[in-house]
Amino acid sequence: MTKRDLMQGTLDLLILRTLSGGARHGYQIARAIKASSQDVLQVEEGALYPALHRIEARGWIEASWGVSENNRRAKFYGLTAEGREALEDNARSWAEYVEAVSRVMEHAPEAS
Amino acid sequence: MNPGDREIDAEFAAHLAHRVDDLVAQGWDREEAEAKAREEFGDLQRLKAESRSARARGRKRFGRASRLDGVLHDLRFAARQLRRRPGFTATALATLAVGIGATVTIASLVKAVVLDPLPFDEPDRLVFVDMVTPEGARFSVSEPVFVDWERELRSFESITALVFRGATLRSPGQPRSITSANVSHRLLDVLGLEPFVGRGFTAEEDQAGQPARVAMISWESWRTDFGSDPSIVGSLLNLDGALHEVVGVMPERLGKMLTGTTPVFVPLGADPTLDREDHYLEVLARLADNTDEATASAELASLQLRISELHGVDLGWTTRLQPARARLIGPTVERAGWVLLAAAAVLLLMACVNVANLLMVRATTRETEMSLRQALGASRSRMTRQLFTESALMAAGGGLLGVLGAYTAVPLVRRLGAARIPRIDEAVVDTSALLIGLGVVGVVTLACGIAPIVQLRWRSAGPSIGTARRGASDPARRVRGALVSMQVAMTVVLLVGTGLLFRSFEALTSVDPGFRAEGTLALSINMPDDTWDWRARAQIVPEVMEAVQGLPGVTAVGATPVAPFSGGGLANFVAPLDRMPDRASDFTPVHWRTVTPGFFEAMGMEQLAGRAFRSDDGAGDASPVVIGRSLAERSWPGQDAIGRTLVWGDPAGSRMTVVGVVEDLRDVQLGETPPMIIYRPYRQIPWATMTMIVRYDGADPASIAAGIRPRIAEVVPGLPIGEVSSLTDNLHRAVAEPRFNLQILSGFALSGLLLGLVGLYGLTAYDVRKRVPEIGIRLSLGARPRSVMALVMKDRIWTTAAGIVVGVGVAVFAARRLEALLYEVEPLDPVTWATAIGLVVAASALATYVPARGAMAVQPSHALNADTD
Repeated sequence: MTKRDLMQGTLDLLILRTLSGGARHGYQIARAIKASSQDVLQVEEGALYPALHRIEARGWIEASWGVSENNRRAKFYGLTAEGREALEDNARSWAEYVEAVSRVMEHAPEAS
Repeated sequence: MNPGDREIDAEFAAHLAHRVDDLVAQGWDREEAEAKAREEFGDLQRLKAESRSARARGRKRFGRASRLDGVLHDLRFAARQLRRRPGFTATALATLAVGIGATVTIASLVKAVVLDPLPFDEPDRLVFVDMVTPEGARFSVSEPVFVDWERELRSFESITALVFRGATLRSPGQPRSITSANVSHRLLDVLGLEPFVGRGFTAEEDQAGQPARVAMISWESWRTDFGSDPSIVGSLLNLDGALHEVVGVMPERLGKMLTGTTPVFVPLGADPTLDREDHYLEVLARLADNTDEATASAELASLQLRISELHGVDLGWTTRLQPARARLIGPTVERAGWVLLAAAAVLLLMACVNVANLLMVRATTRETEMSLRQALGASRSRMTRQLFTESALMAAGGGLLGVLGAYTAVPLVRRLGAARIPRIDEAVVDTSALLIGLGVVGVVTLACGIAPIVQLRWRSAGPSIGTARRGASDPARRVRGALVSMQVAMTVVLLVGTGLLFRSFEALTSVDPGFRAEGTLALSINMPDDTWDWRARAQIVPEVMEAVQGLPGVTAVGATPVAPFSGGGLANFVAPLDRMPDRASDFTPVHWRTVTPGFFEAMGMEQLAGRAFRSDDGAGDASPVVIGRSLAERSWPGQDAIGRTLVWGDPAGSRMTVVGVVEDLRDVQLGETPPMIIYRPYRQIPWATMTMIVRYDGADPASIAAGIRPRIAEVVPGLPIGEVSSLTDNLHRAVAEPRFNLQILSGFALSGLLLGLVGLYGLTAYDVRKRVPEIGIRLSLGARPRSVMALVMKDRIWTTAAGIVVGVGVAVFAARRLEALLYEVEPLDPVTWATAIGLVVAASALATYVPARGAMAVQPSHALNADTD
């Protein structure tokens, strides 16, 4: 299976989704997305951190410093109430999008 | 370096450290791991810059989202969803609009006709006070008895009597034949109304036997006949040749319920010295404070017993109170109102079921979307909220359309019922109707919205994304089956109800009224005392009739004071001389009319024995009479009535010889037993107001009608003539109420049948689509197309059968509620039931067969590609 890069909006969605289970720090987020997509989705650090900071600036996630499982200081991100709403909205748009695309694919003309 | 940058540095450092930890844990050398981590991470400085600007951009672009935004967002999303499927949305909206429109329309109607209080003060305390004959029939009251009641009764705060009479209004304008009401002076007190302008009658003006020459006019007449003349009070009316001073205008609220279109009111001057046998007053009273009907009834009964014994009149008669509401609105109208409202509610329910069904189908096709969204963390409450928003938006849209529809429908329905249904002209879509509409929208939202939500719950507990659409166990489908069964059941109920009304209407309209209404014209003439005494009247009427008879196309002319279905009537008592009882109270109550020669012919009535009246009948001392069949049969059962003698009124009354027997007339209430009737020659009793019945042959009735008036004016200049109508109109009006009920209900039944069909069709079509893979496989394994079709239809046969069984159960209950509205049709009329059920079966078969046939057309190759919508 090939690995795929993520579109920016999609990355935001995946970050929010990952954080819906509780606060995590950047490295954990990247690892979780990779793991839960069964290694299909690869998150570049170069994309992850700008995305996190952008989302934080919107007020969807909040950051606080804490101690990681490795006993290291790390910046943890958690969903705000708005973030939860945003997650649902984005999930919905995404679902519509997927539904629309898959419908197009299903209805593609049959080869004769 | 600013603090933000420092924080980013620290964060990146932490990331790298964790990565290194991982790599080391996988067995990497720490230094190599650090190098690899840094390499993976990319350009630190550039990343820092990007993060900084991302932060800035994010702040600029996004404010805080409010809760309202959430709702708006939901609404926009719902609207988008609805727009995306215009077919689905249009169907659902139209269905809801029909259901909601019907409900709001009928609710407006029922409110105006049934629910609104009578337009009088404390209307619950108003009662009609009636006499009751020994046979139990309601009867009017004589003037002396009314005077006794007025003087003695303490249970009533006030009591009044009224009687309607034909009269001639000579001024203002051309002489007109009108109806005037003679009322006792307390009429407005009893009703609790104030005159519009001026004053009501005083006790002095209502002196026994000498009513003052004063008049009041109706509000309606003031507006139309008197051009809203502000100086009307004090002006003079020439009524029957006598000048009457107008003292006031009746309040607008008096309306038409009690006094119809009567334009002029004069004092009654009830006279205690008049004949106690002459009953013609209608008595209306207001119960006193702290007095209930039972108390008043008891007082009245004991008083009346004393009066009867004292005078030896009305012996064996009783009295009865009837609430004004029951009399003026009528029990059948009220019952019909509720029946129609119930039918509208059933239709609404069917519409909801249909939409719920549609929504469930759609929810199924949206399962992928739902699964994905749920997987991506949309909470169940959030999705519920959003599904609900969609249902609410749709219900609101349907409600808006429905209310707009009601605005259009109410005036139409008003016109349909205008002929006979009291107060229907007051029906409007008002605030309360709109509130009902709003409430209905709420209920519809709940009713329709709940189905897909319940489905969502099942689904979320059930299979995952990949398998949801092919799930074999499908509780939603079972629910949909139940919903469609419900629709079938409701269709049965509506059809049975409509069928019963239809059969009843048919029976009623095929009742022989005893005369032929087709080919007749009717017009009233009025000969007031001041100009024509009884001798002159006896002269004029034959002259007028002869003149009209001479018009081309006219075949017969006759006259009577009581036009068919005019609601009026004269009553007295007779007994056969050979079996005459000792007391007048044991005489037989009869209707009677004075008629001219030619009357039976003009009416098209069948002569059963003897002869009709001749022009010399009633000239001498002899009193020849013609009687109706039932009176002949009652007086001389099994014998010939011709030549026998009847006694008029009491044992000392005049003796009358029966010269003819005619068929009975059912011209009071078409559906009731015809009254016993006796006809007396006009020459003997020349009534002042007569209705001429003109029978014509083939020719154009309009031109005949146009010719009558000038011809009469030629013969008797200045004779007041009323409007020309036709007996067909009267007959038509007599069945206006059942016709109205039938029209509305059959509209509902048709809509209901259509909704039921759509439901069944939709479900079957959906089944076929869902089972395409299965059908494809069966077909490729060699199943015959017909057996596949049967397979699909089998489920729906059970759906239909269950619906019919439930529907029959409910309809049995509903039909009993209809009983009061039925004429000569049993609630369990087998023809109706068989037809209704047969229709449902046939329609269901069609609605199932058409989509099921589609199953035969499935190509085996489609089996794997079935998830198309």
